[in-house]
Amino acid sequence: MLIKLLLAVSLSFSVSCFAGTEKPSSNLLIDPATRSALDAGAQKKSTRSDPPAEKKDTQSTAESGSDQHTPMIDYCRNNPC
Amino acid sequence: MKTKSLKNLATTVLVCFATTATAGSPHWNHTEESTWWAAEDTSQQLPLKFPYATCGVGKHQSPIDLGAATLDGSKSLNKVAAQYGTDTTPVFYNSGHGVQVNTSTDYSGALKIGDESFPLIQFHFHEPSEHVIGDKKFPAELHFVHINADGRIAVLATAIDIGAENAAFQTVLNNVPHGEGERNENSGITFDPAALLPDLNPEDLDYYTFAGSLTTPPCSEGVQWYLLPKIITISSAQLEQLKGFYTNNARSPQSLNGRTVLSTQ
Repeated sequence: MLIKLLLAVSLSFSVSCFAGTEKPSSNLLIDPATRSALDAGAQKKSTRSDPPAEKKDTQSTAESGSDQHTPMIDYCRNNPC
Repeated sequence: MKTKSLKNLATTVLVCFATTATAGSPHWNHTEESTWWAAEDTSQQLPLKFPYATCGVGKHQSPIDLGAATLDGSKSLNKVAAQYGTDTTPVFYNSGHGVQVNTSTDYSGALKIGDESFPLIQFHFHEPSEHVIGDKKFPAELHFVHINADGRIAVLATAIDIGAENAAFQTVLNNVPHGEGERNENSGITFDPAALLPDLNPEDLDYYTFAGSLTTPPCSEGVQWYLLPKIITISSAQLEQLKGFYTNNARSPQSLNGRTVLSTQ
């Protein structure tokens, strides 16, 4: 009887501890199960022609020859963008 | 040559939109999202019929539903590094649409994408998250906005969940003014935006990337998005504080129109 009582107390204590913790379920944007499903979807579609890969752009900022202030910067300092 | 011409064209379009919007931004808010494209600007000498038309007709709009996207982790992608560092005079800004922090004009923090450097111009928050995964929305989302010398935009985004209190986020909340359009330029606070990044190697970030747009009018396209695979947390009390400024300032997911999301993982 005493053992049952002790078990019940310890169980309710651990449940209340977990309930009171503000903890995200995972620190991942996409959980592994969803990610697997999305990857599987991508493999199914792989027979289609792939979109162009993001190229490793080797053009440097200096090459663009523009260190002038762009109006977009002013816009984004005044708006959410 | 062709790439350069395309870049110039994209820049011209972005600048054109920016100039138009800055000159006489017609009113907009998130509750009227479905009619952004139809807004008219009568403040101009030559009234602009639909200055935010891209919001309605654009084919590469943001945000998106990652759960509906095709993910491709097989491509070789640029190395991306968040090289931020401390800003000695950040400007805490209530934009009228959200909580925002502008970096100072002499701030040297940037997002390094391959060999290119995209200076960090500002970061801001949305509640709830703009990007979703199927039915799943996060309580909030943080966008770091970077613009390079020729006007191209790269946004680094991280989802925000409820969890441990976030000291860096509290600094933002404590210093953003409550009045719409107000700025706090003399807070005396120094701030390193890297304090708001999730637990990832900042010198070699993992990410999901796709071509998108600004998520607010004028919804300009040509924005490259980098979504971080890990999230950050704030406490529920901090979320309530954020809602005290703005709530439901998130655009709904837009059609993918065949876009693929590339991933480093």
